Amino acid sequence: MIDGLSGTMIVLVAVSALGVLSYARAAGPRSNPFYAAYLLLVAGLTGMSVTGDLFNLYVFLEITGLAAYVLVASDDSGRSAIAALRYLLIGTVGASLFLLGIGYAYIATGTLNMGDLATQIAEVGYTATLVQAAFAFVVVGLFIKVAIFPLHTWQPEAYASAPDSVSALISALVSTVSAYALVRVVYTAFTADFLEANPLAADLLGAAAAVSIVAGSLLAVAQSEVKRMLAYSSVAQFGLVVAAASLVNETAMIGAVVHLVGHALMKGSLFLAAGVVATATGARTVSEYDGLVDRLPVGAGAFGVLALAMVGVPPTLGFVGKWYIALGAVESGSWVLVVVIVASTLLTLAYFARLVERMFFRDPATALADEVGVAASEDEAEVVADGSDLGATDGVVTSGSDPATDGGDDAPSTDRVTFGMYAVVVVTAVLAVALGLAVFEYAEFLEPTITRLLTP
Amino acid sequence: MTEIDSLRPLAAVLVSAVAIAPILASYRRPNLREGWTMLAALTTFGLVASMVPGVLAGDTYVTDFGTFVPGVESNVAFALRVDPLGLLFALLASTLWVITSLYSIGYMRGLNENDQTRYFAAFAGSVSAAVGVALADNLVVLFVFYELLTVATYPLVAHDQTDEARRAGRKYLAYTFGGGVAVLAGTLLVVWLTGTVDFSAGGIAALAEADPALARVAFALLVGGFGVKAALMPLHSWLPDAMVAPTPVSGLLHAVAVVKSGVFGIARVVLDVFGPETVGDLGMGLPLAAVAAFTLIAASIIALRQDNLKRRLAFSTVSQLSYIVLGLAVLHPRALTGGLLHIPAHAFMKLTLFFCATTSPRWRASASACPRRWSRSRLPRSGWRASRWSRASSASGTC
Repeated sequence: MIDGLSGTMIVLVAVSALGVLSYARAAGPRSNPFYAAYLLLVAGLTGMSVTGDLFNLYVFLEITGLAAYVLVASDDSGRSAIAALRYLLIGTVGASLFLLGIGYAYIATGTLNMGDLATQIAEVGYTATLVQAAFAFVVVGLFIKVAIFPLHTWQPEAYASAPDSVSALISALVSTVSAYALVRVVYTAFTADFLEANPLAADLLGAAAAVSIVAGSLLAVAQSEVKRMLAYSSVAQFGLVVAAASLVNETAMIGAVVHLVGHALMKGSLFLAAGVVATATGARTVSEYDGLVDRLPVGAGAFGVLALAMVGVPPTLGFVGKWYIALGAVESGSWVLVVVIVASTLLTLAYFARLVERMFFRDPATALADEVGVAASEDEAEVVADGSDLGATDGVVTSGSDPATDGGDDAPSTDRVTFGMYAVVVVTAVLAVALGLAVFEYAEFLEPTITRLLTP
Repeated sequence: MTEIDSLRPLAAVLVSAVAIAPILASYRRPNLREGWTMLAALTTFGLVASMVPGVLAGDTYVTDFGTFVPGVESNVAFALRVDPLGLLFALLASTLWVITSLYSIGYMRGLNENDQTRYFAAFAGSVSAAVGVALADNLVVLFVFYELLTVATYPLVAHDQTDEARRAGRKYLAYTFGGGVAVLAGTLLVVWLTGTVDFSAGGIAALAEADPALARVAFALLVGGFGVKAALMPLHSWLPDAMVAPTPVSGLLHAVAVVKSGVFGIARVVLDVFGPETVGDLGMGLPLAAVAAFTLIAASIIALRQDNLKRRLAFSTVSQLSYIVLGLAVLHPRALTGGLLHIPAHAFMKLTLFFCATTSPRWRASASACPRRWSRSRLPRSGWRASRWSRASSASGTC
């Protein structure tokens, strides 16, 4: 089933996958399993985007999940193996809950086609216990996949320990398409009438979203590792999307889609930028970002622009999405959500400003760190990158395996930042700013879909 | 009175923003880099000045890019409009940028400052945003440039890269982004109440009939948000701290462009969003006047006790800005004129004071090292005057 919404997701999946590919080509991982899992992931995500059947959605959700577990583990380090295992366990619980929900829906209605479900559920009655149970299980299952607080526990470690290309791919797409699935199931299968008949359901969605925004941001502030910080930031940003989805309002829903796309571009690119930084300088923690601009001006600049776009400085994509969502919240008169959404700017600023300040307004902590980035031989830099990966101090050889080059012995050394790696980060940074001005045209294109979605 | 579709407003905003690229690119060649700054400053000034005769004749210049974001009833356009009030502020910022650029070049090179490329790039960005604030056609566009101004000035506040500068930068970001959030909330409320955010002389009519309680909240949010940059007490404390920035920044941005963008925002809210009559009907004039009057006196008294010359001038700025706000809050045509007149008047005076009074950012009346000899030899007259003043004002007499 292709409409404006799923069409958007397909394009997003394709473009993001291509962008990450141009990065991974040089940065690795280069193994065959990586590319196999990569293709499987893209297939699963595209399937989730186009399917109009609840059970097919589950199948594609599992394909996506399995591919994502493999990808997280492709770092070959102990840490990423543990993270992948945890992701596997929690992700499977999420998928199982989703399946349970589907089961209830099937018992209640005898169909799993979303369009058919919409009419059947209306006949069964929106307040029937079976329907309510189905809704609860489906939503909680998808909350786990989207990583809404407090069901996010798999996510930070998975993002932080996976190879940079994988972190970018997963952060840009997996949660995003799961959030799309949430919107699709809630509005196409259960329909807006269900939320109207069960105001508690909509309220709980909104409350969970608000909690996720605040808690995710606060947790992000507390992180010392850049990739973990970015991961927690996603918990907060998806809170924003779910908040918009809970409002049953056209403007907010457009905002949710804009923010989904915007977040995918910006967060994926931020992970790639973090990867560029780590490759070039070995810096992976917030304190190692000190004085980054002197060592890596373009990388630091792109990171800064993306961070500000994420904060929602106008006229970037981050701001426009937030405007739609906030305006929708105002229109539906949910003042608590308005406050949370508007204040989320400050919460996001709290964790990004710290990083920006360190990158641009501090001198590098030690001369050593500076020299490693510039002058050290490639092998040494790799060791540093590896070492800090494991939380060890710079320069200490703690791990013999190099995550990036174990796929083939013909692979060139990968601690050099290639043009392709830079290009994808810089292009997205420019897009994050420029697309903000083009959102209205896109919103007009999206409007018929959203109207159909909200008025069954 | 005619409306003229023109690209000049856009060019006035964009020229200095575009100049950032060549400034950054020519970081190896300072003379070329400063050439770009001067070129951009003069071009911006020329563009703004070229619109003066038309505006005096009653024309308005408009650049319209179509819809930016949706509103409730009508969509919000990304449009720039040159009306007399906006032109006043744009002309002020662009004129003083030319002068400040000259001063900056000597100052930065004379003191052998760090990161001069970043400094000039951020300065160009700040001026672009300030002109954007001046020429914005509606609240949303005003908000866009108001936030960009925050982003562009932050590198200038934290320029020294000392702990003190970074602390000041953090405080600056927290205060001004906090203000930005309030402005955003107020804007959303206005959109919701009236369906539009376009400025119209005498105020948006629908606002007069809106629910008074909500209208008051919207007014308080907007004025509070803009009041952060206008340094209304108790939202002023970022300004004295921001004096850690290089002197031309304190001079142009923290006495003219940034702080007056806050005042300008309040002026737009009072004159073109709510309209003086509605503000009076809502009973919001008096509280605003009270806050302004309190700030005026309290800041002056605090200024008396400041030994650091730049901090003293900063508190003086806090106090003087409240004159303008007070003029707006009284809601009488004469007071309005007086308040608006004080915008350029204070700008010229305070900029000159900053230029004379301080020759080194490390100037601290209480600091143990006394830069008197240095400044006297380099800039004999103003340095001497400044050191005398500083000595006279220093209670401990360490310098």
